[in-house]
Amino acid sequence: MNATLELAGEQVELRPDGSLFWPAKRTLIVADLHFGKSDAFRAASVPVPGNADGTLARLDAAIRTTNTVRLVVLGDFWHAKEGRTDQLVEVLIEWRAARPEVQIELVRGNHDRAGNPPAGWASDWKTLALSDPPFCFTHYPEPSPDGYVLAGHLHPRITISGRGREQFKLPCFWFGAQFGVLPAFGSFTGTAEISPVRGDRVFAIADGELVSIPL
Amino acid sequence: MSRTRKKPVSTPVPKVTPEEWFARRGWQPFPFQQEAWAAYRAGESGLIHASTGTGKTYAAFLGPVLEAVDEPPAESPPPLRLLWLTPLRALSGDTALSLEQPIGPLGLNWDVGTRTGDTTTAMRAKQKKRLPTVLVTTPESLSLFLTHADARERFAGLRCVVVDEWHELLGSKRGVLTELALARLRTFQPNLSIWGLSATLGNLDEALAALVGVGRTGRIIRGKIPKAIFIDSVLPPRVERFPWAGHLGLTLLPQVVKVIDGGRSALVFTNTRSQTEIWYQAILAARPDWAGIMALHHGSLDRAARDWVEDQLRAGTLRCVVCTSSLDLGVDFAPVDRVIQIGSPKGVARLLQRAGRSGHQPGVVSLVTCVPTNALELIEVAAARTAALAGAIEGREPVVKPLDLLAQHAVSSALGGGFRPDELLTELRTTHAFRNLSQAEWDWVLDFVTRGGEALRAYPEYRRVVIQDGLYTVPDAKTARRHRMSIGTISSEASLEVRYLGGKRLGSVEESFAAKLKRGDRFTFAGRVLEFVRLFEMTVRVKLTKRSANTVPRWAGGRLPLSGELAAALRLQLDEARRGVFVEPEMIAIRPILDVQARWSRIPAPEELLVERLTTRDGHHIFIYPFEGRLVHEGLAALVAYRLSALRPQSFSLAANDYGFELVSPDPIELGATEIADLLSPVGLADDVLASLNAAELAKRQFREVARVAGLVSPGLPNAGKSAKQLQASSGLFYEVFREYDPENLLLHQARREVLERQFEGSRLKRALERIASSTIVVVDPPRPTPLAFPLLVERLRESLSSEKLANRVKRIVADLERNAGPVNG
Repeated sequence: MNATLELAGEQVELRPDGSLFWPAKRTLIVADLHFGKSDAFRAASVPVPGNADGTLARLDAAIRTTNTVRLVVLGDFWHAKEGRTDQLVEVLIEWRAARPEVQIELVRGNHDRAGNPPAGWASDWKTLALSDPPFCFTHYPEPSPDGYVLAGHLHPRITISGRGREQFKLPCFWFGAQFGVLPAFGSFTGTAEISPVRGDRVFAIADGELVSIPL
Repeated sequence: MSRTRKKPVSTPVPKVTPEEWFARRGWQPFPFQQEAWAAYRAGESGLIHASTGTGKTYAAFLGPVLEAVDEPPAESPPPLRLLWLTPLRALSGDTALSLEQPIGPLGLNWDVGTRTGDTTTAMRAKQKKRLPTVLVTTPESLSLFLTHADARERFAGLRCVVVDEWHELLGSKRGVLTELALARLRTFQPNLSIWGLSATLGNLDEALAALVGVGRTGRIIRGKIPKAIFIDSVLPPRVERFPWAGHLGLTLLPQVVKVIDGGRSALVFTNTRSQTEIWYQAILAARPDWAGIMALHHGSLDRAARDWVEDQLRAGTLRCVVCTSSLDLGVDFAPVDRVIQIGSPKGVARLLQRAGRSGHQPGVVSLVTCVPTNALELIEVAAARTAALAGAIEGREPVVKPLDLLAQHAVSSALGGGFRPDELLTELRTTHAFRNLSQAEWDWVLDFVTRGGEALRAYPEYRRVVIQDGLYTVPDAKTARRHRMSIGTISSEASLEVRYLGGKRLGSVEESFAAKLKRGDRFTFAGRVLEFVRLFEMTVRVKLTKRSANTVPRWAGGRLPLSGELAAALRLQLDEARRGVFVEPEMIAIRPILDVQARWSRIPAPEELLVERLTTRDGHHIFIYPFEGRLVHEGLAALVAYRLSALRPQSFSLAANDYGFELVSPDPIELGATEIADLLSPVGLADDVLASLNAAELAKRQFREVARVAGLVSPGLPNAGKSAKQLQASSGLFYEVFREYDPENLLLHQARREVLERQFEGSRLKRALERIASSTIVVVDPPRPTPLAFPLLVERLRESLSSEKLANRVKRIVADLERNAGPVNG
């Protein structure tokens, strides 16, 4: 179940897979894919199973359901150089080649020093903010004069507690006055607790549903 | 800090006989020492048990020494002949000193050295050329030696291994690490004799079996009869004002100061490092004149600071030292004449061990004064005294078949010159831990260390251990280095150094505490109030401040559960109280509280199980009191919640302490005596507890240690740099990824089994349920929280368990939050 909200005057949809869809531009925005993270562990002889299939399948489903024409990745496409294996690059090139109709733009994140984007995804990283009024797409959640910032980097998580002292830690979307942060989209990625302030809007992802958290 | 040892004197020293050497020191060899020496000469192995400070060290050491005295004198110090394993590297220096003492006078040309994680690079280089005749080391350092291909050659002259404080290692994976190393040494030297030194345990035969290995025998030698031990407590001055629940905090401080004042030198034991800091500050505030002659000691302090404290204790210059179990072990502090235990010792053996740290002068008794931190702990003190008198001492259950450690050992063995699976399996089966290792389990471990297990079939490029002509080896230098750095089984949270801005090192705090510090936060550490300045390159930079602290560092580390022996003694004390018999002074002191319990609810008889039901703003509570220790109660709570939620969708949060457990639900819990009897049935126990774990997520947490030992998660290395940072993932993520791709991974099974055994003391849990099955269940609806219930109500650490959909539970919480927040104000 999606959540719809108004952001900088635009209608956007938050999706329980962690992506954000902007219907007016038919643009799907995701952050922190961390491709090759399990490969990086294996390269260091740590026996971690897993590959890009899960992340790609969820990305595919999101693109198809929303009828996306443009995909924006808010940085940390890669995890580490050691994990950028030939096999993985091949899988990513193939996946991309099967969806020529989708335009893709990649913002560079701190982990993307791992290497160039796979062929066909983008010719190069957008190293600076990608301005698309009223929004400004970046990796780091910092205010920008160019518009309302949509960013990643943090892997935001919120802890909520209830009666009977129940407690949950859930990945979430976090929208402040000047920037919004998307949860990490990639599988095998961790989370970090955020400290929102009054007036912020936080949407937690619980069991395939989005729940607005009162602050 | 590693101490450098003097070279043995090469000029002949006037030689004395062992009898003369003892006589010069005013000692007379005890019969048990002579028995041990003779047994060693006869080629036997064995276990010597006695309380500390009764001559166990020389009982084990002089056997090999006397053997050498009868040999022709050596021109130069002979090669490594005796390994002395100690559980604490901090003890290695003192141990080496006391081992050196008889060597010169008895005319032996031996040298003694230490090798631990603290050994300097220069000393390591020297030891690379030649190991000393006697080497004092830890299980981890020994395991590291064994990862080198030349180990067999270097240990060629080894005749004897002594495992000091074997009881400390026995119940943990470190014990298994020791067993594995001993098995390797026995392969090198089939005639090796192995001696263990231990405190008295409830299961000495098993302790011996694990030490000497399968198919070998040994002798149990009982040390000197322990000196008399007296256990008393500080009682609150006015019983009726005694807070019957919650924490006493420092209200008994004046009495504690008085006890310290009454002696020459006191050890004040607390159960946690945080408490150590708090009590140190409090005692100093009460007696500012003790500044400079009191100190504190715990495992997170800088080694140099701890060494200083230990030296001063031995010299008798300190009035008191506030400490944790960090001073449980080790050589004697002769001047200590008072021991104070803050909080319940939770076990009979531990209390006796600590009491034994005082009264080493001839003719003096050991005296320990207990200081309860909450009222109910008074019962535990009375129970500990009666149990100690009755000789009911805890055992330590050896760990069986930890496959994570086996995976580590397989990689270690591959490093140490390589292994052939059949030969290694034969060796493994000589250990107590792996005596029943099946071929299938062994095959799984081999597959896991070579190909990464079933789930990594798709990644042929993966390699850790490589098979060449049937020999398993590690050809990759990077893998080898990384493995050597992570050897061992101690899984602690990454810790960060604490340093002054000027650079002076104070000790370490855990990452999770450091991460929460904000600039200007003040905390007590190493007995000082420090102000946090910044976190920079894995170092917490601080400066001294005159203002008072506003936060206390927390160190992880389990609170110990009440032992089975102490729990049984406690139920007996309660039964006496129920019958109106109040004999022990602590029981007399706590009587008003027990009277309240009896009036509002009931004091259960030994054959009864008390259940209390209550409704508060928090929800619907049910309290059940088996008095079986916290871990068993956590298991029971998960079990009951699971079985209840299987009947109909419901969420619970759970709390447990040493006396009982509590279930709280937002919805009514409708339970009578019959239903509770069904819920606590021992039938299907293992399945139900394990099934409940998926919801309770405990296995995920336990996986932390398993993942660390099996080499999945790297320990936090201070100077690991960026590449290591990219290899950081929480064990929770690993757990998820294995569950998704490799659900049959035996490490997952092990995590679940460990939860059952360790988190819930599985076998004790089963016995508890059997006892409960034959009990009468008494259900009471008290008007308000009873003295037994209140501590559970305030218990912070909670598990939750639910069969409701997560999203629904979150929405309900949100609805509550909305309602409490009042009208929407944007």
